[in-house]
Amino acid sequence: MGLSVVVITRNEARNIVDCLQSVAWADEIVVVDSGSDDGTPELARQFTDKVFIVPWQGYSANKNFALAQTTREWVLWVDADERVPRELAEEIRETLANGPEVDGYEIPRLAFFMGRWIRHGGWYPAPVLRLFRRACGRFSDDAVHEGVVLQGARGRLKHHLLHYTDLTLEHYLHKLNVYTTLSARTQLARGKSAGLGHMVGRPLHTFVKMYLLKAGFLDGMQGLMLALLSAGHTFFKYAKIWYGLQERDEPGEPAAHYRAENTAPQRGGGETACPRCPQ
Amino acid sequence: MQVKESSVPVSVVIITRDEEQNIAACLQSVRWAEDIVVVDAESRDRTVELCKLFTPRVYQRPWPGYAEQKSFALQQAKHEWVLSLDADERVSDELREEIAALVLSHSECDGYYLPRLSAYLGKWIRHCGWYPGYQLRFFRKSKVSVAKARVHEGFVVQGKVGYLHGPLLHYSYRDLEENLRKLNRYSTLEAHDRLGQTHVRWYHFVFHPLSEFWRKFVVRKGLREGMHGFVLCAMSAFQKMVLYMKIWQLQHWSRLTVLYEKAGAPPCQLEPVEEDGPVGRRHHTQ
Repeated sequence: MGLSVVVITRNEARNIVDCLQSVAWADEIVVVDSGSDDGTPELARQFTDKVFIVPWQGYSANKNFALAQTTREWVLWVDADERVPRELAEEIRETLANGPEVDGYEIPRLAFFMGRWIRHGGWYPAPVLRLFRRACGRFSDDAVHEGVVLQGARGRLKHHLLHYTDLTLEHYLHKLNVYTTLSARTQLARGKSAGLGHMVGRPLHTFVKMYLLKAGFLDGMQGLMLALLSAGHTFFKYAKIWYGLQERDEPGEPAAHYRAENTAPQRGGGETACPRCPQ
Repeated sequence: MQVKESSVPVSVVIITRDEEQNIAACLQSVRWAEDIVVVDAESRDRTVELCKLFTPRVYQRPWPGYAEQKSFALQQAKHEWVLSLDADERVSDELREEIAALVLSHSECDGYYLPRLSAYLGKWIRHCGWYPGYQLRFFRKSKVSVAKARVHEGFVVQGKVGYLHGPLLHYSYRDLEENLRKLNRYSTLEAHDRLGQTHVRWYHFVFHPLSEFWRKFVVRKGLREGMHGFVLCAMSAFQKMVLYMKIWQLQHWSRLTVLYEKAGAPPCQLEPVEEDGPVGRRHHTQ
């Protein structure tokens, strides 16, 4: 038995110390960094010798590389902007000590947005598979919703991860932009198309579901902002698919450059699965 | 009327930074001007190199702010008549001929507004309130000054002002990703400008975007532009929503940072609001 924690990072200096402190009890920590210039790897070295600096090759490639560096039987994947609170740490240790019956565990996640812990709107518990037997899991290739593909049975833990998702709206929008482009590219590669119906219907659906059906209104101002921004997120996902299929030379100049080569996020590369798209 | 290369006694002034994608086509469209002045704010790409293919008069200096840079460029102009361009604009054939005829004749005005036709995602937009979108860009050097106001910086002409018919062509939004990036930037700047104007409440997030959409899509006939019009108007509505959310964020920032600290969140600062270059804050919300 034993637990490895994996974190992939890019320019996470403000997060990495708190993050690693919250998992310092684990038997092993593996940090894989791509292109940080803010001293993230050096900060990480205070906690572990296993800090690897590799070129960015996409979320899943980098995570699978990290996975390959682990040596323990169980793996816990956390993002730099997440923390493992004490209750969850104890639950994990206990679960592993008692001889787990399943091969992976989903963990609920509590997100912090604009000064509020978000408990409604479908954002909580919204469990994510983060703890798994090393031999049974690997990271999938989906550009945005890269997650663990588990071969085996799964269980669920009771306590939650903390997720400091977006502390400014500027950061939220930057991520929205990156994720919707990645998502559109994935959908286009699958031959999907989108039209007016998608651009009107899907955002409305997102809003109604989050704000009304999943009671996002109970989160006050922040709940409304999230539901509206999520509707925007859905809109841009489809608008970018629509745009990807347009003829783009009408005004006499090769206008668009849907840069397929530029899939790495420009900042904050530790961002991972899109927390906003309902999975 | 056919216009030859370097034959019209007009100074074209352009300020740039990192415009290698745009600048060649822009300069190509003003080859007929006798004098072209480019003032570059320390581009890190091939902008300067490309400019030198078209004109010897390329100046490089640090970015001092929009009004200062434009004033400096204006001072370098050799001719009395000056056309001020941005790197993402081109002069149409009609506009060129109109300008050539004007400077050769005796003009009664000291400055002219030019209609500007903008492309959105590869389509020329004639509705949504985007056209004619007059820009005061052609004037006598001796009669013009640059206003330094933080929001609506631009040219001020002392004297009579007229209108031209040939359009400036504006290649502003080439893809949605760039569009969103600019939206994120501009809305932050605008939020700072409008910080004290309204106390933001929840309904601002809903009704301002809806009315913006209605105004552009229905009143200003954006629906005639088809899907491009719809996406453009939805984008404007989204921008309005983001604007009010950012004003809210600013108005509550001191409270938010306290909450962040209490919740154990990492340290966090708002982005600085300094203007970041020649294409700093010109946008279409009118």
